[in-house]
Amino acid sequence: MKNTNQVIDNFFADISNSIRKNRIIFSVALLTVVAFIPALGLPSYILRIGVMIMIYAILALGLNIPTGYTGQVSIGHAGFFSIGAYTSAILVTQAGWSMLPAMVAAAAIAGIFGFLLGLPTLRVSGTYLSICTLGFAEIVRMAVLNWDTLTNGPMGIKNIPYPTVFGVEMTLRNYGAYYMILVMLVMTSVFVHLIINSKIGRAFRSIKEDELASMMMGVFTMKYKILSFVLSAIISGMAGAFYAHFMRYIDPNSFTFDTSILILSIVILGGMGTMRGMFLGAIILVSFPEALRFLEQYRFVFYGLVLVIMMRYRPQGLLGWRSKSPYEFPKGVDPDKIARGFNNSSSQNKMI
Amino acid sequence: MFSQKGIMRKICLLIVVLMALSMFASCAPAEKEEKKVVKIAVAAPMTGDHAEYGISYFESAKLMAAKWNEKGGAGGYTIEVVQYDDKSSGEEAATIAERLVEDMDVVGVIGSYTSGTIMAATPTYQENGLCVISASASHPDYSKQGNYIFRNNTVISVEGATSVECAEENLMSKKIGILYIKTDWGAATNKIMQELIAKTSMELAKVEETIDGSDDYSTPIANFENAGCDTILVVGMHNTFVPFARQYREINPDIQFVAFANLYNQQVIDLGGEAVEGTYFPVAYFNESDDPKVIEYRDAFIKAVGKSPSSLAAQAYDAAGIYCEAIAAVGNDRAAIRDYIAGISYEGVGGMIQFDEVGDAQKTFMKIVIRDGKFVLVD
Repeated sequence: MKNTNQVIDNFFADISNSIRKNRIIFSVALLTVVAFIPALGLPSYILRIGVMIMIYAILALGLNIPTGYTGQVSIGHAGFFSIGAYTSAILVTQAGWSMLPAMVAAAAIAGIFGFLLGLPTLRVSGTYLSICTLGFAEIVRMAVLNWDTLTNGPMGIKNIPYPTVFGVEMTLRNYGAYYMILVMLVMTSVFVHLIINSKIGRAFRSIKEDELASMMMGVFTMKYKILSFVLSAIISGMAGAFYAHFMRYIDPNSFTFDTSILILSIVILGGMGTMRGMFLGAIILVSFPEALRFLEQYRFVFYGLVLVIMMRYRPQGLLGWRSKSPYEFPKGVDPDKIARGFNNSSSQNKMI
Repeated sequence: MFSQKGIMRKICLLIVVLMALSMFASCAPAEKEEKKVVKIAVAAPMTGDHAEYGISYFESAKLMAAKWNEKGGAGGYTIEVVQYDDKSSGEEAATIAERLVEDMDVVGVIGSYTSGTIMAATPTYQENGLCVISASASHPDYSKQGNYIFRNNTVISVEGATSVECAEENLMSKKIGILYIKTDWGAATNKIMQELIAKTSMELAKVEETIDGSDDYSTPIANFENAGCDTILVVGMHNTFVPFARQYREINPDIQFVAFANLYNQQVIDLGGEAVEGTYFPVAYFNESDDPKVIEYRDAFIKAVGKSPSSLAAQAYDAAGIYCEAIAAVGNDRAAIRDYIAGISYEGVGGMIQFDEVGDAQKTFMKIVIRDGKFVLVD
């Protein structure tokens, strides 16, 4: 058993290393392929699934920041998603804003709530924190359900206009919605990539590995834990804003616990703490229910079975292998020098 | 080690067999195609909390299609009913809509169960000109979304007028209270009921709201008692009504209840027992009716599913019947079918169906009372 797993691991790791070496060429090639999908003349329902996959990939990239990198498991991300969707929908339908500023406002307001939800992380951790996030999502749902004057309560918001950019309607038919979400996905990916490979990202990962040790090393863990929630909320809120305009009707039932769990499943299935995993996870979990439609009533039985089997044989997530390539030190850090420094100090100790 | 491998192999084998079987199953109907086929799609929850309704719609639509196909089809077309499971999720419903509008064999859609689900899909149906008839949407704005969007469900104001009549004339109520669930249907109904009650001689003493699915009603009951209500109008599904009625009758055995057509469900009597005795509500479809169409449908449904149809299933049956008649008249042409349906007068199991300019079916209601553990028609 172990051997098979090792073989699989090495197989994936080999692929990853070769991709890693040519990652820029690879990403550009992949992006080109994805960008030309609409030109194939596929039925628009397939494009719609493509758009849903990208929305969920953005949400997963968002959740991955606190959960995958910082180690703060959140099962309430539907809350941010909902705040983003409602903020944008209300600003556009009631206050007459145009879509792009409404989207920015949605991300900002979700970010504020991300800050609020980040606060309990100072006191609670692990499963207790997860329950806090769950409670948060329920509070948001109840607020949306009961604040009739603002959210129209259980009746939902209908006739939300299509996404518009500079006066052009972005629909599925003119491929606008597809390209818009693709651009958003690329921007989010680049943003997350830059964050993760910066000082902030290293602080996140150190908190996940050992919070106490990183605190002792001078990482201001409180700040970074809250920051991880804020960044995550901003990304989710933005995805929510697009979702509202794309679906054109939202009600409190669009953002239930199931949504939170779906996002978390994408993160776990794809591979926590990786970006590649988010894309694959979203593709699998969003497209499977559609692809399995021929099974009729049994499709979710099969879907569940697939999840169980995947988790049994790839508990670290489909693409969640450990990188086998040598660690790249940030610019300006010379590993040899550090190593020499260690040797010097140890020899000094000996002398004393 | 060995046994683990064995299990793994068995699982793999099982999956392969399952996949092969399901492919086979999905291919099978395609082989016998000879006649021209048109499809009626039932896009409704076939899995999840509301699966019961989706499946009953699908079965009802199939019964109607079988009836027409036996006669040689509608206008030279064989009618096929296809199911699409949306598991009561707007996202899935919207994806299904996108798929159905592109399948030119599909001439009409029946679905979904909740208004929120179908309203995520109606923009797609409307923009691409494919008819939808909902057998259960109750959101007041549902049918206002376009001229391809029809509702073969009770319109709350008409149904509510009958409920108010039950309270005023049959129960001689003086002071009435409303308990409503906080859903799109509950909130809309509550608003309309308040307006209707204001027009009568009854006094609206107290309005209480509750979350769908809660099971402790002591606070609303105490408030109704303090306000001196003699009758409570319950705007809720049976999962709200039954526990509420049980708890209330324990405190005040003389309290009277008036409710809505969704209570026409054997479970209400099975679960409620004594506590729901004497409850009045309106229905558009009644299983015990002596109309031969109803008897035919009821018996066929019991044979297929094993229990009596609900009024919503009957509405789906009529929706399928409306499509069949439209196909017989104008063939496979979505726009012509829409025009035909807009002007139809269809004699269904749920009475005469005509759509008004918004697309809502106008129905007449009968009054039902629960007496000695049975649903009884009030004269």
